Amino acid sequence: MRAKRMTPPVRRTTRRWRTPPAITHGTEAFEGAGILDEIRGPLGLLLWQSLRDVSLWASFPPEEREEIFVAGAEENRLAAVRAAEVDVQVEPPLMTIVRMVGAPGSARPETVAMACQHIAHWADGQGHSGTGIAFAQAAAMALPGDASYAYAVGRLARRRAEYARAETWFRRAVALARQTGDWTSYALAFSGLGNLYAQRGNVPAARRFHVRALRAARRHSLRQIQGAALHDLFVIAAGAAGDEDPERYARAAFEAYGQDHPRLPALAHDLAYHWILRGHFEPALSTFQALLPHMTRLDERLVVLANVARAAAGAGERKLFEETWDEVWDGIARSDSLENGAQVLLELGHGAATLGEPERAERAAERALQVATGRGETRVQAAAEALLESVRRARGARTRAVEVPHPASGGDAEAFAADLVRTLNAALVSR
Amino acid sequence: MKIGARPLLVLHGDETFRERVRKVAGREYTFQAVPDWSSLEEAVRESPPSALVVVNPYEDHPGRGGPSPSLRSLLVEFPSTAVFAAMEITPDRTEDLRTLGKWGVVQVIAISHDDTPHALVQRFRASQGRPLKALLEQVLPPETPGRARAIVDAAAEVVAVGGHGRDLARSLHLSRRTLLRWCERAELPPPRKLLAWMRILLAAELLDDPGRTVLSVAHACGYSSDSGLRRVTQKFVGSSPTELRRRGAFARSSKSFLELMGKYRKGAGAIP
Repeated sequence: MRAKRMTPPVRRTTRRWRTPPAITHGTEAFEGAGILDEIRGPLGLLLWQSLRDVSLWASFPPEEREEIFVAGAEENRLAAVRAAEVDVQVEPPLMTIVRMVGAPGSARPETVAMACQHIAHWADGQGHSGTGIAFAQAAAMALPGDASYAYAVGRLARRRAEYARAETWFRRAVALARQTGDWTSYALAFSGLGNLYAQRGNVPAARRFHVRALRAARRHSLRQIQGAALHDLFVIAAGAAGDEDPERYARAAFEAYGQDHPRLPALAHDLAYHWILRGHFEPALSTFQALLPHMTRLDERLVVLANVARAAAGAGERKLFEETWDEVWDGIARSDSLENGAQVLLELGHGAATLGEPERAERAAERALQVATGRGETRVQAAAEALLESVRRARGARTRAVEVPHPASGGDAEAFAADLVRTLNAALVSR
Repeated sequence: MKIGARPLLVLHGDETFRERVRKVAGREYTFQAVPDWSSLEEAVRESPPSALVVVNPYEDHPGRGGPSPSLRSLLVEFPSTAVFAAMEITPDRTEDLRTLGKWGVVQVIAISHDDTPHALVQRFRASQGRPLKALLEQVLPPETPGRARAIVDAAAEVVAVGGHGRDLARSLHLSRRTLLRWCERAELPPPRKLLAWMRILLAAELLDDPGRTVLSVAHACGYSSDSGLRRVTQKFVGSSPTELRRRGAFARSSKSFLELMGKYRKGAGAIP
């Protein structure tokens, strides 16, 4: 990927082109109110004030920014930063904003936008997603012509399940990127839209956007994005009942990614999941187990563990299933806003159903349904409902609720799994 | 529907700040300083939906455990009103800020920081139609496309200040033809119809304010009598304002609006 530039993007076209407006507020009462809810105390107040300062500053054209703040506002804000005992990671960007308050007429939009983006990353890493999106948006407003900032807001909004807001920012990123020739953001924004629609269960639209991302990536030799687009198309083809061979996309993505690509574990994960659905539990289990050391974040680890549980159930390894079941429930109890929480619970439910434990399956499916409904994830919701129904029907008939797919010929899968496990282990060693 | 000049009602003990707001009001707003909470309530009752209210949340209630209860009563009686809290922001007021958000204050003006004339004008403009937009956010279904939301948002802003189709196009930086095309692609009614619906929703929002009579809502929306408002609500929602109010005006009207949006979506039936 290219390095972040320090100059504003130049519009390359003279054609009149309207950039779609984006939704700039969520459900918060007033601008940035979510920050006060997420981060209590002086730091929260300071961040809220800084956000308001940037938004206000960015809402003026550059030539009218001189008289926005009262004289002496910079000194007061500086004292507040010192008194708030700010995290060392946030202090430099906050100081940039303080300097902007002192000299609003001469502050550079690129510097202010980077400071906001820095705070957004920090907040997101701390689990304050509302604060993260507010600052990402402030960055996008400070540099309204930069597609990469618009794309960043879309990504954060999608992760928070604010789908409408995410869509408007992705579409804005597409339009801006086309105007400025920022083809990386252009392809990424299409990819973002594809993932957004896939998350909402609109598979045809998702496929269409991923194909557009792939075309853009090919046209501009963006190999990593090309791999990502192929990967996404694999996921869609694997989920659809069409004639397409999903593993063809997976192999192409594997080749485009190469050995050290950070998305390789994600591809291995999706492929192993596909094997579970096709009844190839052994290659799936070995791949998921090779993936576990790559997962450092709790939410990612829980997803893999839930899949280990399901694959272990399919492979008849009850003890391993029991161990992972407990570990996943403990993890879910510790984190209440997991992005993939519904999917994690659903996998556990499937595993329990495969092992003929309807009470456990029902418990997991009910919780999955509840979480998916709350987040508007229609695909997971439908899957959870289907699982609940099949478990209840099986209980009523006093039979085992086992729906283990009959494996097709697993030769290709086993060879591919061996390749993947070898590559994943090598990547771990080279790190 | 005609809406007159936008009243800017101010209840604030700081004379310098009041004077600054008066200067900012200029031709865009009709400045009116009110002496106390009860006078403010009276003034809000008679004001059009485009009115802005700027208050000191601690007025007549200095340092007695949070913002004044009179402000809370005002926002309970008139939740559709755009109220700004103009106050000094100090670390001990963090909880008060959260309380103001819960009560429904739409924006905060930080005294001695961003209460310059420039900033005030910008904040007033940015809060245009905010209460209606907040209500719409709650009722629009999650599958509503982002583009449609953005247009509906802009329409709510335009209607709150008595604007028309050309103002909507201008607010989105589009030509009227492009706006029409965007509405089609977003599976929305054409701009004129959309704005007519927004006016109904705005009237419905006001009808839900416990502090307003049907006649005052009609006046606030630019009708000379309640019969004008009745004719419009009958045509669009099939109920009189009184019936609407009894059954939850906004809930009922927004349901009809969503049904209409559903028809447009089925008609379009395309992949976004």
